[in-house]
Amino acid sequence: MTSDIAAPVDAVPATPSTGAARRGGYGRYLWRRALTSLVTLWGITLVSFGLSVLVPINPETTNLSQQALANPEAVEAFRAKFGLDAPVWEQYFNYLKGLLHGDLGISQQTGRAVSSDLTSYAPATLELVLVATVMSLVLGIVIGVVAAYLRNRWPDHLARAISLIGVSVPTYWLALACSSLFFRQLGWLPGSGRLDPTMTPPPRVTGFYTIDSLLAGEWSSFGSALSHLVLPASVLAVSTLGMILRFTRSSVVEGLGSDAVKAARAKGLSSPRVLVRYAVRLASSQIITVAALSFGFLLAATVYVEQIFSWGGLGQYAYRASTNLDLTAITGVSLAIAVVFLIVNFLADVLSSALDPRILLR
Amino acid sequence: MSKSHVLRATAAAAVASAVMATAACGSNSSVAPAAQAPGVLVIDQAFTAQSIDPATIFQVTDSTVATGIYQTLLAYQGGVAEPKPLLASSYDVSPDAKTFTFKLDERAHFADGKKVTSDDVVFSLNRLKNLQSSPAYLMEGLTVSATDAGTVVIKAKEAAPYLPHILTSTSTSIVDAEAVRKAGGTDAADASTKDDAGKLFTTPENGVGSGPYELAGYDTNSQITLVRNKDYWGGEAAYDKIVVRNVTNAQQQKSNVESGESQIAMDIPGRIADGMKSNGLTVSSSPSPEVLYLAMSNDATSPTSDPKVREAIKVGLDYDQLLTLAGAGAKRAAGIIPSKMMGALPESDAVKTDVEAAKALVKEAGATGKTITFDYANDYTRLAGIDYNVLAQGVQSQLEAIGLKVKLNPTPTSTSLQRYIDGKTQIALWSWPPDYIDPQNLLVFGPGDLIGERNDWTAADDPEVSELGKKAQGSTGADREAAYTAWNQALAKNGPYAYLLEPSFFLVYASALGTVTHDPMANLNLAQITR
Amino acid sequence: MTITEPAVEKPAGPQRRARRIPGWMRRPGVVLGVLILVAWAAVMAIPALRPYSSTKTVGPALSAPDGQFLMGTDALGRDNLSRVLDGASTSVLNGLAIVVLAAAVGTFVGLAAGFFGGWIDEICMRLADLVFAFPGIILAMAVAAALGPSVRNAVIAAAISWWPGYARAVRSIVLSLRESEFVLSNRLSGVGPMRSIVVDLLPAVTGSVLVLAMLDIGGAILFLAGLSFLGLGAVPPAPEWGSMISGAVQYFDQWWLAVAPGAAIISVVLAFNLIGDALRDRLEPRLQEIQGESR
Repeated sequence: MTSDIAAPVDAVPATPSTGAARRGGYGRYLWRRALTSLVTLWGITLVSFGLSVLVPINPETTNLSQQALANPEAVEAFRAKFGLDAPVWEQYFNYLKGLLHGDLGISQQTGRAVSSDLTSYAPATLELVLVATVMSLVLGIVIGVVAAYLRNRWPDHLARAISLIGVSVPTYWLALACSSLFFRQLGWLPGSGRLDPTMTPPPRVTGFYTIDSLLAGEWSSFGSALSHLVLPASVLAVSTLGMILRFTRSSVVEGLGSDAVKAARAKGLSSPRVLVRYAVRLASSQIITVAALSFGFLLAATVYVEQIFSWGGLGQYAYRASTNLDLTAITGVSLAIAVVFLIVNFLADVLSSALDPRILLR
Repeated sequence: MSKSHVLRATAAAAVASAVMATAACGSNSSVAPAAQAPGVLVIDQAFTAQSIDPATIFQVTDSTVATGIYQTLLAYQGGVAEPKPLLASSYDVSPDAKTFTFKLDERAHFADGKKVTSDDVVFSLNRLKNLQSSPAYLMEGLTVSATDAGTVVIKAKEAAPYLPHILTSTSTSIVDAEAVRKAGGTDAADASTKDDAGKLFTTPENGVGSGPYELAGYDTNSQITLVRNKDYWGGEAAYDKIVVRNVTNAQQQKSNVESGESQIAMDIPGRIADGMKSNGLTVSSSPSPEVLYLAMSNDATSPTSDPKVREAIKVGLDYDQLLTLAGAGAKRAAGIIPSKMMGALPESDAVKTDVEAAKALVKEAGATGKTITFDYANDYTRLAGIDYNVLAQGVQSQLEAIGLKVKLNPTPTSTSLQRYIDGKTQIALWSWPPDYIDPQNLLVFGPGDLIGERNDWTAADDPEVSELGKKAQGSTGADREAAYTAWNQALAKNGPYAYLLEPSFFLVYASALGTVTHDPMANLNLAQITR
Repeated sequence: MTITEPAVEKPAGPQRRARRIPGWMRRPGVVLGVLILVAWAAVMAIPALRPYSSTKTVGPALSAPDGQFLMGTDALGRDNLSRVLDGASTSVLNGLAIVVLAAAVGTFVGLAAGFFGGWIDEICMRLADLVFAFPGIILAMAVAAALGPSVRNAVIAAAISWWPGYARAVRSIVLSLRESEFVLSNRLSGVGPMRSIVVDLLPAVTGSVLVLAMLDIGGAILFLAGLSFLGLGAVPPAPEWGSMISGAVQYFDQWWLAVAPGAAIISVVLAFNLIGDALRDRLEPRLQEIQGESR
């Protein structure tokens, strides 16, 4: 049931542990989370720079013309401009210093500050991933609840089949197939980009074309942005649908068999009411956890989807950075994704703890 | 079913249909064929954009955009490889081709209103030289000076009859010196460390160019937008807005231009473009000014250091199959100088395939069964959309047929190019995009020169070819053609290169646009597109 | 202590045999999965099943599926079906390699971390956290780009991203067993740490690791194909499903070039997932235990 992204089945980085003793309340908990997160982020920079030690990278090769490469002065100027003439450990030190000021260095590919690259490309990816997560959640929860309620009857088996197929399909292949079918053959949906090329993007408030166009009252832009979102988001949603469906089903089933539900039934509450008020609520904490997890999976899966749909987000940026061995960009993107992932998981933990009194934050 | 469940299901269905409805509203405009918003031109290209500062331009996308917002002293008109006056209304060449005098067009002024003077020209060209960025070598051996406000003199250390061609390159675009200086720019000798004007060039409507359009947006990931220059000195720009979009997939470009979402597609390869002619679409092609070649290293550790092996490869390749694999528009290349430039050899002079002779040569050299590594860039689609993966596999099976085992080494462009530059490759697949239409560009392939060195081919290995090269470099006037032809022939015979093909670049565009052609550099000149 | 069964006559014949196959294996999903895998195993083992060579030009380029070439030909005139069939061994065997490698490394680290505790534990787990947080695909892309494209490097890059899951699971099992009676009694009687780990803990851990591995194989195959799709895995002309799909991107109208390898991937991954799914159902409570305590 894993999707085509690197995370084994028990990858639940911050599941609140049931039954562990609560020590020191919220404050200490926040402190510990923040600390471990920082250490993780620092570790990422270490790994990135470690890569550059392993493989000597010459970014000037992709950034200068071949004639300029033959001119030592031009190469010197380039290396000096990006601080590449210092030894690696000194570069690392400068990088960390800059990090404390929010400076992520300059990307050798674009020539711009990595931080401005990230702020300009992140909203595209976040918009896509959020929409995909919501689609996946809505469908997954609905089908999962139905499957749990009607377990072992045919809807349950159908749901299980959907779930299994969903995680067995390679995302990039699905993207190609859907693009070919809905764009080339049927012409129902656009096949690349975020917006109709003749339209100007709405004035930037959040960077999300959907929200920004609504805020500006530009209805045609809103419609165009939505229609461009449908295909890539649907393709992404399929990959996590299976996981969410599965989790929902099993936790609702568990909830239905729990003591609270038994007590409610004994009191005489009808079945559907029991289902909604108790079982689903008890399951919601687990669902939130898996929603956070799928958000993380999708952040990684966008690398494929953005390439195929020319989305212009972090996924494309990350791919170009990796193949060009653009060190600062790789580090920047990894940090950005890790930060988003850590925040989302933290929120999920807090939320699920609030919803399910049995879960204690460790 | 429980009420709440039904409610939930209906809500979901309602949301879904609302989404589809609004989506349908929004997508209508993109499905209507060729009914674009009037005055807007959409062009699809597979981006390689990096910087729009003329002194740093060397990527194709930047070059394309620059033709719309800046102007050069001279320019190619239509597809003719003859520099015509643009910012310079006329020019004189001294008999020894070392002094060039340009008279500027009186009427020319920048988008910010200021007149184009010789100070701007001197500043722009010196900044190009001293910023030490990729195109800086164009100014090698040249000094620029102003004699009066409307006259510029360029002196070359050695005869440079190709200088007018250099001045059509977008890297030599003339910018408003005053504005750039104000933004922190400098053309002094230390410009590479002191110049700080980079941000000015990506600022929307910065006014430092004199072309028919101005920059409105510059996103290297998705699209670059140009708007009409209201104060254009050369008349009326054809469009209110030009959008150059990044569409990496050729099939996507095809769908876009067929549906009318874009009007010009620049990167559809020949094999697809060939069948696209229709009522609404015109297909035009022009030969590329570059030859796709196989470099065979002379390095002692490589099996290709044996001249018999190299000769075997040259003769053993099935060039016709490679032409088919590359698609429509690909032609045989007899020498490294492309057919567009003087000194090019006719197609009939190209090497004839002789598999039996090749096999015999391999046996003679004792190289049967030896393994050769073949490096190529697996993500490089710039050359007319030719798929290097397919071509490389074709070459591999052809060489296998003559007894040489080939191991493919596909890597991303940065890694592959690095290996080539470091001289680590045995066989490598590359082309040499010229900077201007003059065979002087290709002298780098000579023994001991840039490309020759990479493949361990030194002047000592082939003094005759080296001499011919020097002669061609120094030739002027009517002698040039003969000199370059001689050099080209000698290079084809002795050089460690196998010339695979000369591709064609295709343009697919809406017929309503009239005639749209590549310029001789197989680029698109935005200023010359009419309605 | 045995319990004597009530004296009921055991049914003879097939019913008796059927009872030997565990219930979970008789589910239709598992049967389907096993059938698919057996079919692919046969394809991998019997070269004669391929109609043509997968690296030689045998027909016109880019021809649609017909009687002669059941899944059409590619840009170089090679038989698409043969290439897909040949790709099976690369994808499946290397997917298995990823899981085996990740499981081996993860088990080793988990055992060390769980058994010795203290700073060894801290370091190992921080390392695991780090790899977890680093977006797997980016790490894999960078490693593959740095080491050069080859299936071997892609397997290494993938294994680097996957081992922490196993380390965590193994560690939690070791932690729960470390203080148990049989381990303590052995240590007290003088058994050294190495023997203790190998003889006492390893067997207990193996079962869970095998289950986790089983569940991961499908994902590993997808991941490997994904890396090849991005151009960082298998090297042409070797047929590999991911790179075949990547090559098909250029040839939209020739749908068979993408559909064939895609269908192959789906069938294999689905088969592994069907079996793993049923296995997980059988062992659900135990897995939840592992997952719950693996923090």
